[in-house]
Amino acid sequence: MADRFDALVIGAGHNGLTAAAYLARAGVKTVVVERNPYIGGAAVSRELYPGFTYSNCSYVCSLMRPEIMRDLDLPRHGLQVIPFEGSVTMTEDGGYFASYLDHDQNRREMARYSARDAEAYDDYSAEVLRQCRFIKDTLLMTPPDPTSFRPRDLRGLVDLGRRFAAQGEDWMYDTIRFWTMSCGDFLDQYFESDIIKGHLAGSSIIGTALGPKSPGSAYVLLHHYMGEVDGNIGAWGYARGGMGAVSKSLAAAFQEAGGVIRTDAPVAQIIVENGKACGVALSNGDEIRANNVVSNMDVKRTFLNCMDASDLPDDFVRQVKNFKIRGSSGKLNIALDGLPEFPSIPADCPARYGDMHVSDSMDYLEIAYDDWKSGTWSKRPYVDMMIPSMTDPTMAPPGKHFMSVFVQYVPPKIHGRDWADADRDAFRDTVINRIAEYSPNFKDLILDVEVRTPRELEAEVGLTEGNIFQGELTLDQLLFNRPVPGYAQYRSPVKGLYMCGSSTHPGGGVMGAPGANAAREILRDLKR
Amino acid sequence: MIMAPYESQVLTTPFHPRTSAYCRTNHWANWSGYTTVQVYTDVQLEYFAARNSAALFDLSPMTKYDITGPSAEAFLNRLLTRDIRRLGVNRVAYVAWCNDDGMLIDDGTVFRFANNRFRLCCQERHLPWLLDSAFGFDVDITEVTESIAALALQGPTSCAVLKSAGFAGIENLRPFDLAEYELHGASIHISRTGFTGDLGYELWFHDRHALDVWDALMEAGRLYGITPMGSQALEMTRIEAGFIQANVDFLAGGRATRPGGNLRSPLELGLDWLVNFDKGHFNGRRALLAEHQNRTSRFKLVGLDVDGNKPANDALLYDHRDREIGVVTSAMWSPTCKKSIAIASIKHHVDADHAGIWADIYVQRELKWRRIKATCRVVERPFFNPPRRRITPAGAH
Amino acid sequence: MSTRYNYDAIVIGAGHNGMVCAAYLARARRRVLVVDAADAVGGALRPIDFNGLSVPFAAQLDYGLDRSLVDDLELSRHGFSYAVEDIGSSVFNRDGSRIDYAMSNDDTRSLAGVSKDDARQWPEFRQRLIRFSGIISDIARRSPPRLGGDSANARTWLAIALKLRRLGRSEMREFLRIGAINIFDVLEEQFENPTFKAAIAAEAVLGHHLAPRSPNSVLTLLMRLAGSQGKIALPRGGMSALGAALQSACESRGVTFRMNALVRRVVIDNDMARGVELDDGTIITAPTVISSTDPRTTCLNLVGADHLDTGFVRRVRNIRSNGCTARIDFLLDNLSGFAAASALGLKRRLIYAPDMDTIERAFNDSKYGRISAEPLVELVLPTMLDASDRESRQHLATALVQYVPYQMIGDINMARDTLLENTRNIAELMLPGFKSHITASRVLLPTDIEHGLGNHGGHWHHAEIALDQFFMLRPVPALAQYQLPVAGIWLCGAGCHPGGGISGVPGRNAAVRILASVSLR
Repeated sequence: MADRFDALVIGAGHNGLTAAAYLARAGVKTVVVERNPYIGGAAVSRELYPGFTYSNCSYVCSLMRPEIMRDLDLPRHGLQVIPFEGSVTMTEDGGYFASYLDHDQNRREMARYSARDAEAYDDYSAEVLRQCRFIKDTLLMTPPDPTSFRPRDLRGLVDLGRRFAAQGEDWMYDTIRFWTMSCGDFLDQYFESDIIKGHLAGSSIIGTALGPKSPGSAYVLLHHYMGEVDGNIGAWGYARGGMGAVSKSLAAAFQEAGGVIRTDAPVAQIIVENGKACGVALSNGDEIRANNVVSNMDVKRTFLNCMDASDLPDDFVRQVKNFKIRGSSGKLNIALDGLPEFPSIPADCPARYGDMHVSDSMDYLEIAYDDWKSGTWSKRPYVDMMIPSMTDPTMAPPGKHFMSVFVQYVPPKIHGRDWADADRDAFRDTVINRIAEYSPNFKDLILDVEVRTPRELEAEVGLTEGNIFQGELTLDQLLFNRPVPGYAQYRSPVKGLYMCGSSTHPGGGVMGAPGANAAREILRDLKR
Repeated sequence: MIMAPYESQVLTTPFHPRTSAYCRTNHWANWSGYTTVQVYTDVQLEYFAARNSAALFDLSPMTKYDITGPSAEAFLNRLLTRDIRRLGVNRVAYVAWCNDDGMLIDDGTVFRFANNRFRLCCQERHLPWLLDSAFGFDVDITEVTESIAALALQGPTSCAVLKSAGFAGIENLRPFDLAEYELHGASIHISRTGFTGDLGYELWFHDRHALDVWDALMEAGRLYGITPMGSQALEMTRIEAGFIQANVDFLAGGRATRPGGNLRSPLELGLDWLVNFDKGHFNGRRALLAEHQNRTSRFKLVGLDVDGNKPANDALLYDHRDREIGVVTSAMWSPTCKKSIAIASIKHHVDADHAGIWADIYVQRELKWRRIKATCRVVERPFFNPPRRRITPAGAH
Repeated sequence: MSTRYNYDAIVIGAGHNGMVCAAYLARARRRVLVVDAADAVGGALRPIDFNGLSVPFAAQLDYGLDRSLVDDLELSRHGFSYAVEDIGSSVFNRDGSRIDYAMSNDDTRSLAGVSKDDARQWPEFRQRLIRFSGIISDIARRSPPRLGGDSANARTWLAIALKLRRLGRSEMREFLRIGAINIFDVLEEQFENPTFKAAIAAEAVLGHHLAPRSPNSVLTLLMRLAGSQGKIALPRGGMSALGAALQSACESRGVTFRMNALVRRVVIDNDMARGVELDDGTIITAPTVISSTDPRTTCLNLVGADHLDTGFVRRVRNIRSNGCTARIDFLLDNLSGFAAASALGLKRRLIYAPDMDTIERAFNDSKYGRISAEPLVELVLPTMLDASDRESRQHLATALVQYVPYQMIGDINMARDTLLENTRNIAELMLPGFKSHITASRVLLPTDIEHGLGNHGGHWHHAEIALDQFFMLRPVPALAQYQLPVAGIWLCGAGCHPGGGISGVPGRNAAVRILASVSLR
């Protein structure tokens, strides 16, 4: 290969593409290598059944940082987000609880279950909003290292501390408590109704190997609310054409700036010479040389699978091994011959255009977690169902529908052994039967089901253990601890090797912040 | 008829059949989830009815809580900054309440129907705060916003209208008095209260009587110039009366989501007279006492007479050395005082009489913007304060 | 005001923290009265009659009595000494096999049954925990600073930060990482033997509503090690002897005790404490009132919500204080034949914890209001451990059993029976023949502890120990300095920093605060 690049990004996921686009726009000659024949990583649209578009991994668009949308001009590159209004939880007894954007309408809906909760929601929202505001400012920041005495780190720490202190003493206590307490305890402070708590607690468990009663789970709530904080209309929405549209627009921005994407190019090894990363070897033996290598893969895959341990400090390898990246989610992508009926939800209720859940109490979620802890998928799982084809005709042929079903909890291994096809089928049946309890015609409409357990997520997307956040979002793995203490600034121990995936701060969700942050650090090193 | 929330984003008040018939401008507003009229026909017309004849305002969306039980008085005394033990039966009091830090949560009115029976009316919703404040007290708190309809009848002829509608002896009601009447079989509580700073009454009754009462008043008031009034005209009378408004002059709810000390204590809002330090413990007392004793108030509320005729809405205020000292929170051209008036929050240390305060006003005339430095004088509130407001028996004009 | 007060300070509750606080105040020449509803001092240490044998009401073992406090109060002069200063522990698997270990030393010879790798890992792992617990121990001894406020607060924070820095960069990073993590992950990283892992996990979760997989469970382990570096001890004469020694130490300094006196409320006038009112209407005056009961009971029952602000009351009501640990006493008849067979076991602390998943499942039950089907048990025979008791023909076995939810679904008496039966069977497994020696038993559920001690929820630590209720957040931020918003009212119980476990530190810290802010009249 004659080409020599300034930067090579491993993995055309949304963070890899974001990092690459920022680099290319700064004049860095950049190539992205992707092992799959298509780009996108976990933000993809694929026609896996004739005429249907599957957003077969991530499925909603809300977290993409507005700064990145602006910098990379994503709407011009074709990103269209179709907002939806809210979500709805169906109850065991045939009722429902919906959420609405309108404040008073939402209050009246809550008041059907508890007059107190209906108004306590204002206090709750105010506190969550406050927490989001604080966190939001840290998203596009390189975490300062609290053990370092470098001026930049000290400045960063002082700045963080000052912003923290600006909120007032009482709020500082509340914040520390919020970061350490369980979602259940947090919600109990505000609400009394089981269904309202169950509905809200769903946000605290998505992608997380914690139950809503585990300390530390309150923080995960924020990840869900972050999208709303910017006050964008319809902060939650479907990417028109599926989540692949996000990746497509990022790729378009990258290519417009002169970037090169190579698909079908699985990386076998990151080449390190004289203690410096200088390219990659593909599994077919080809080598691509670059002055800098940026990995969008999770840290375990990057450092344990694609590198020699001898090139890395022992302590670092140990810490990477200890990085918690347990899979806890699965997904069903379903092609439907028509619109499934959900008799619990009134026909005119706008919430049916958003997410639909069946988890009507916190205990429901906690019991689902108990199954995961004991090494099996939840027998009564949390499901987050969406039918984007109701508002996006590109997703399915006329009259037919695509349904995305996110499932929590699904363990990376079944009682310590690998998933077998029979497990996968049994898991599929668990989920489908659970949905069918709420939708009488659901089973008859099914044309095709794609089942994605952690096994498939790891094999196809490359997410270790199928963890959708490339590492759990717990206090010990946030900010300067993400992915490992001392290496939270996107640089690895090897010169010229960087990390830009969700394993790095601020973590998962299709927000692009790790990619943008990594690019900023790389450009800093390149003095651009 | 109870509508599921998904069926209607905004509710209507019990007077909707009438208010919608009178509302010729189609100028509606969402008030706490209810469809309410901003302007029926013309804001000036409605305003002058309130000042010079009688105006009828639908205030049903006002939040109302019934507070009953053996410890109702003790509960309210701990909740509110005023001494409720001194509020007699059939009396009404203007009240305020604070969070732990002594920051105002909301203001409102408390009605005492009986020894152990009160009603709290206010702008915002506070059920969790009230219920949590009730911990340790033998008291029941019920929200009655939806079931209790309310009308304000304000203006110099309001007493005459009520008399003519059959409320005998209404003229003997003193300001902040409360009495129960019967009209066509409906029980109606009438208080001599209001938001206009003028002679006026508020009527409270079950929502099923709403249309009957409305019709009776409109009929009785025909010769007295009765006019339905929308919220825009009410807002004008409110400012002239010098009253502060939740989420306009102060941030209600006692919660702020941004740093910067955006909440205000009652002492910072000119509500010192509502705070009674001698009545025993009440919510926020320790913080307010410290503020009072250590003189740590950060702001004070002032009424301003602004030069010129341009309303000073949202204007920043400066002193003679061009240092920013505060902000106008409510402002208008007063058609009665013929002055530009404003309510403003300024830094506490500013010597308002000698600071040379000026307001930075931006006005647009025929799409051309102009900046006006309007000199302001601190004046007493209310800006308009007619004796008829207080005289009992009330004049039957 | 020229009021003549009966005392300088009144301490509500003659538990160990109340007495420690009283003793420190008396040492500083304050006239102190201790009032308690019971007929004897001690609180959880209080001796009660159990079929003719004197047993402590609830306290099991000394998991970390602050040794400097023993010196300060000259407890040894008042008859306090240890029967055993470092009790060895054994953990049992379901098949009755056991592993002996001690958190207090590196002796790997005793770790029979674990793999070579595990044995090799143990000293380094234990020493690291002890090192980290040194940080916690330093924090535990401090009275919590505020985040805002004056330079004294800033100095405390700086001192803690420097202590942390002294660990060295990589250790500090590790400390920050595992501070919030769960013990399950840490142990999975280190060891292979499931029962050995369960033993360490049990140390972390005993007394807490946490399971091995719950985040924060490393913190609770460090807390336990912080007191006495992993040593678990038994005073000569049993746990009640500590209560007697504290009483003697108090009385020798002039502290007055008034027993059988239930405090109805704290008397407050003009936002200041004036004394206490007893249940019989007696009013005893003092400008300082110190409560050793839990914060919730103190604030909401003794002080009353009407003297407090709504936001504050809200926070106090949200303190997590539901206990999850039951105590069961067994009276055993002559053990001579039995003792020979399991001589060693009878002088150890026996833990039933086959593997971490079993503990986790036991915890799962309690989340939904059920008692654990296969509980975690800590069993000791105090009368065997304590040579001074050798003459007694009867012996006592006491078990801590969890998880037993405070709010239980179903019939409580049936739960009591099931719990007893399960515990008996587990004890039999650990000490074959045990069952046949039982002549009487007593079950103490969290509700019984609540009833007997008056602490809401019947929690060991009065308030759950977790990061969100730790240090400057304990029990709520506004109470972290041991002081109530009403002038002159203080807390000195386990609900305050650093928590329970018979350390006496909350009582001492409170006394130090009180002495610093209240001058002698």
